[in-house]
Amino acid sequence: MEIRKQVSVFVENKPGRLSRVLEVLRGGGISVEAFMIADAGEFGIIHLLLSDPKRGKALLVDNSFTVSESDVMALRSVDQDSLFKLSTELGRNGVNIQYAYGAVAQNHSLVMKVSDPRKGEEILKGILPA
Amino acid sequence: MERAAGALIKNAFWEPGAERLSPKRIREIQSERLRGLVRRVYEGSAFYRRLLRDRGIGPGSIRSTDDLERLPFTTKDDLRDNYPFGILSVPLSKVVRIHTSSGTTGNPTVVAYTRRDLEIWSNCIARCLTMTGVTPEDIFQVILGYGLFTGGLGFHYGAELIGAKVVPSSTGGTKRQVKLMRDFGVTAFTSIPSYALYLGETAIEMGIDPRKDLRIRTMSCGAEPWSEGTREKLEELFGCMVFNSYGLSEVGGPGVAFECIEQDGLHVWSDHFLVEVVDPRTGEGLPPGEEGELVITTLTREAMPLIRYRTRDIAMILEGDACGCGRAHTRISWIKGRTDDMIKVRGVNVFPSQIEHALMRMPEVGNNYQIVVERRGHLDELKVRIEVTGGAFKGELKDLVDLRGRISSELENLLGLRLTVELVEPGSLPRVEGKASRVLDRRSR
Repeated sequence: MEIRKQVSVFVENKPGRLSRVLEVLRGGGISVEAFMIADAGEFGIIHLLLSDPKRGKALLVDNSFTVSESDVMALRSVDQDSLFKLSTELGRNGVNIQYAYGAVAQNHSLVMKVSDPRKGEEILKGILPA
Repeated sequence: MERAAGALIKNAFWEPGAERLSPKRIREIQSERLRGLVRRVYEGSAFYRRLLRDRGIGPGSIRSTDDLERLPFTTKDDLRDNYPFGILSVPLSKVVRIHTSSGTTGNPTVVAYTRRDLEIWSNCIARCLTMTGVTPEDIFQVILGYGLFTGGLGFHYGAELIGAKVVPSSTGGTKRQVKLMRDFGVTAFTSIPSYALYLGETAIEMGIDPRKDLRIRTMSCGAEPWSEGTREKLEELFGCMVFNSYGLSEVGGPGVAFECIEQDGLHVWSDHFLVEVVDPRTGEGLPPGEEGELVITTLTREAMPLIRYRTRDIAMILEGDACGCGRAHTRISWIKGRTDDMIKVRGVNVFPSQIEHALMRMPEVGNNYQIVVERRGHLDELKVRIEVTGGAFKGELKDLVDLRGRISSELENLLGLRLTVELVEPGSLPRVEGKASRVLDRRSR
């Protein structure tokens, strides 16, 4: 489990936008460990967990995307049991899971945007394998 | 609104006699000059002689401003069709200066001046500047294009006439402009509003605080559509009062109308310009307080007087002769837009400048937007597409959905129309230059 920087990109909801984002990242040799698309009609946001968030963000900005960065919790090997445990513990301690998404690469299995990542980390340290 | 330097500006007069004329005396002078004008164009301009004859109007037919509506309009096309000198009312030998306005479509428009035209022009600008606090003590930077554009030279001569120290820095080289401003201790300048904003932002980037490190007391802006929102930004940025300037090259350039320190409408120099407002579609006169197209008659110009020139600018004449500054010269509102840009959606007039004004107050969006009008069934649908820029983007969908909601309700309140707001990626809307239209009208006509 670690706290990582998630990169969020504002995109119009139309074919080819994700591919364009991935193309820019790939061009810079940056790999995508996890991602999610959230949409609100004609626009949406792509959340990305990147191998190098700082450079990834800069690359996207250079390609005139509107981009922002925030802290998320990245967890390894989450199964149904641990998912139940972690959501119960976070809930009991008042840490809200705003959204979560699964990973595409080996080293993480779940990415969660929570209201307080540091506190979330403290809570989960005891119940999940590192 | 804090106006740090506002108190330093005093109401003053350049030509007190002319500026303090009573409303009655202004009307008398206008009638007298209108009579003379009709005679002059009849004798001097082949174009106007033909136009007036066709209407059955002789050199003595017009007796007062009450007869104004009998006179035909002059349009931009008339000027283009008579390019270059066909509309002049004096022999070319009397002309001492020729400007042109940009000819994006077809022929450019020629503007010619006699020596006396230049004198009156400079005096009008001197009135404008004096009225907004410029004195011989000021160091005045003219940040407007010199050359064929009337802005630069117009302000240059006016400021010089007052005796201010004029810095003819023209446009471009923004960092150098800021450096001159600081090094010379410039106290007043004129510019187009978007460039003035850019100057202020550049100063900050250079580590120069425009409010503390610069000494600007008074500023005027014009020559492109802008809004009170931009004015507030500029006043905040430079810590001084900012005044709206109006003019157009066809009737001689800047110095036609200008705000006074009351900042409650622009005074048209009514001893030189007779202003009317008409319905842009029918050409019928509209009373004060009603919005329409500004029509200007130049009462004193010699080389190229124009009768009832259709400016294509939308504004209204403000009611009431009395102004706190002591001038009874007709006041007009800010220019709301161009007739070319005006769109009618479900019976409501919409101008891009209204949308610009609202967006100015939303830091999350840039000022690049596009208005799209479509017809769905029988109903016009209005859509405003706005680029989301980096500044305030936090990466959360909810914020954007809220933002879209806030913009919609703001615009709906402002325009009195239901509409859709679409947030788009930066760079996805066409860039428009200066006065180009931001409207995409997809209704089949």
